[in-house]
Amino acid sequence: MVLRVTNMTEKELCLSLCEVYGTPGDEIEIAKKAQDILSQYMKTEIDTLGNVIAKFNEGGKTKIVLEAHMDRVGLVVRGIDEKGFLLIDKVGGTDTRTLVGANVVVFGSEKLPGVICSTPPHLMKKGDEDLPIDVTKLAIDIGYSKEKAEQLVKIGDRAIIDSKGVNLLGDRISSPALDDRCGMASVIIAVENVIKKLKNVELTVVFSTQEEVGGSGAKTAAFNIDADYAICVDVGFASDLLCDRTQTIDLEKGASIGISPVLDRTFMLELKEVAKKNGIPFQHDVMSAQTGTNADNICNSKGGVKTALLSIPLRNMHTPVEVISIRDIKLTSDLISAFILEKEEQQNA
Amino acid sequence: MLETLKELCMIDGTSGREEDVRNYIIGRIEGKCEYKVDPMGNILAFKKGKKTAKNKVMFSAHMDEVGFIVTYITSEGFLKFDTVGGIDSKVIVGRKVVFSQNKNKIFGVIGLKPVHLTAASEQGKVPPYDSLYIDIGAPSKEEAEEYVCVGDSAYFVSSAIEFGENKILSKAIDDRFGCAVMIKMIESELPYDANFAFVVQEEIGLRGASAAAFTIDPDYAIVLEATTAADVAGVSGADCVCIPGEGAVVSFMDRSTIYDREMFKRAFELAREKNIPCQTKTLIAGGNDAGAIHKTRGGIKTITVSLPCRYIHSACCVADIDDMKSCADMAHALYEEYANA
Repeated sequence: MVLRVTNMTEKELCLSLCEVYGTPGDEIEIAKKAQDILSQYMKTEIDTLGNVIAKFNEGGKTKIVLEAHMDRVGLVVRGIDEKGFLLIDKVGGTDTRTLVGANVVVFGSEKLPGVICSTPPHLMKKGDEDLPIDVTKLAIDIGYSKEKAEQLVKIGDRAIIDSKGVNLLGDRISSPALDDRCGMASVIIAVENVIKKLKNVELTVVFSTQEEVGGSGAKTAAFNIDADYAICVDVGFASDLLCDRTQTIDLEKGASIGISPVLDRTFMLELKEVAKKNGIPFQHDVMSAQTGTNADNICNSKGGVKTALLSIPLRNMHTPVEVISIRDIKLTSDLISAFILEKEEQQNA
Repeated sequence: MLETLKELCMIDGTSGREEDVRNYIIGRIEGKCEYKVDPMGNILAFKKGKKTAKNKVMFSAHMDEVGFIVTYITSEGFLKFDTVGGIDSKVIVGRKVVFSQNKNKIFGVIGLKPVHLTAASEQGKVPPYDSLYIDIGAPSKEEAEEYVCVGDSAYFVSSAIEFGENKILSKAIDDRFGCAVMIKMIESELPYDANFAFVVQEEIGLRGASAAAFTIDPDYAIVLEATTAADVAGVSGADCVCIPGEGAVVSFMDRSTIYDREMFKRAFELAREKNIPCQTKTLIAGGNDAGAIHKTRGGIKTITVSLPCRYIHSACCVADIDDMKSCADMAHALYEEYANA
C-alpha cells in the first residue's frame, strides 16, 4: 500500500526513517523529518527535551497516546589522538562487537566518512582474541592528521555506523536504526488509517528522545500529556539461530503484546480481544519486572497511565544489521488502528 | 589508475570465483597485448616493448579477494558459511553481504545474539565465525534454496570512496591494486618486452601464481601486492609495519619469502636515484605470491612491491593515493633495471 500523505509504501517509509541520523540527545534531524510527516495529519510541536508531540481532536473524550522513540544507538567522540584518530565511546547500547572494521559517518563540521580500527591481528597476544571488545580502545580513522582532524571534529561530536538498508527475501529488510524507526513507521501508518474517522478520541503521538539512555524524553513528554491509554511501540527479540527460543518472539507473527507487572493487565487483555475480534495475528512476550522500554517511564507518570507495550519482532538488536519484516509493521499498525477505532465506537454507542 | 582501482574493487571475486574480475581485465587489455587464460584461470599476458628485453621479467598480481562460501543451509533457512582466505571474525559480525554472482543478486546479513541476551561472562566477546550464519530473510530451507546453493560465494557490501587526506577506502584493494597497475602498464607503451600474470587463488595458499610462473618461466618476477599497515591508534614504532603516505613497500623478508638480497638493495638504490618514496616492512609478517613464485622450476629471483593498506581483509581497507604512484614507479624502475641486467 502507498501511504496517502507520504506517497511511500510502508517499506519505503520505514527505510527512509532509518536513513536519518539521530543519536540520543541529538535527535533534531529525525524530529524534523517526523514533524514534516505528522504535521500533515495533526498539530505538532517539539518540546523542551526535543520530543515531537502531535495532537489531533484535542478535547476528545478518550485520550490515547501512541509512543515510539526516535533516537538510535551510536558513538560519541571523546578525544583526538596524536595521529588524528578519534577516540570514542558509546551513546546508548551500541553492540561493541560489531564496531571493528565498520564504515562510520562522523557528524563533525561536515559529514566525514571513516572506519573503526582496532589492534591489528599480528599485535594481538595469545588469549587476546578471547577478551571482550573495549570501546575505549577503539578509534575512528577519518584519514586526517591531528591538526586537520581538530578543525573538522570536536569532542562530543557523534558518529554512527554507515550502512544503508537492504531488502532481504520476502517482506524482510535489514538496516541500522530499525530500533525504533520501525515503531515510528507503524505509528505513522496507524495515524493515517484512523485519523479521518476520529470524533471522540483525542489522539496524541509522542516520538520521544533519549530512550536508549534511559528514556528522559518519554518521561517528560508524558508529564505534559493527559492520557487514558498509552501504547508504546518498540522492538522485541526475534528468534534466530543463536537465541534461546524461550526468550524470543517470531518474525511475521505480528506485534507482541507485552505482559509485565508494569503494564496494565486489563489493557493488555483488551488489546488481545481487539486483535482476535479483527482477525489480527499477535504474539506475547513476558517480562517479570520492568520492560526496558519507555512503557516503564510512561506508566507511572503523573497519577499513572494505563500503558501497553507492542513489540515488533527484530533480529540483531543494536547492530547495523537489524532485521524486521514489513508484515509485522503492518500488523502492528492494524492492531493499534483497531484499538483506536474500538474506543471511538465505544464513545459513539 | 584511481578510477581503474575503484572499478576493480567493486567487482566481486573470491578465490576460485575470479571470473568477473578476469572478464573485466580482459576487456581492458584486449588488443593491447597477447594473452591467454590458462587452465587454472590465470591470465598470462605478453606485451611487446620498444626493445627486446635481455631477461624475461614477469609482473604478477592476484585477482581474488577474501570472501565467504556457503557450507550448509539449516532447516530454518539460515546459511552456515566459512571464510575464503583469512578474515578476522571481529570484522564479520554486523556486516551486510551480497551474493552478487548468483542469478538473483540477493543480500544477507551476519548478525549475532543480541547483547541484551548474552551471558555476563560473554559480554563484548566476538563469537567465533563458525558459530555465525548469513540471514537472507528466508523462512525455511526450501525458500533459501530457491536463491542460494551450498558452495555459493558471498562478499562484503562496500563502496570505493576517496576520503580524508588523499586516501581511498574500499574492500578488495588487496590485490585489485596490483591488477590496476598491470592494466595501466599494458595500456601504455613499454620500453622492453614484459610478461604479466593476473593470477587466481592467492588468498587460499598462493596457488595460481605457481602455475603462472611455471608457464611463463621468467628470469625475474615482480609481485605487486597490498600489505598490512598497522599504524593505527595506540600503535607506534616498528609495530606499525609500514605507513600509508610514506611510499612503496619493499620488504626483505615475510612469512612466505626471503627476498633476493641484491634485488632488495638495488630497489632502495633505485628509489634514491629516481626520488621514489620507498619504505620497508618493520615486522616480518604476512606473505604473498612471491612465496610460490621464487620456488618455481629451478628458482626465480623475485621481489615484491606493496601498497601499505590499513584494515586489510576487511570491508574497509584504507590506502594512500600517492603511494599507488610510488608503487607503480618502483615496479617500473625495477623492471627496466632487470629487463636489461
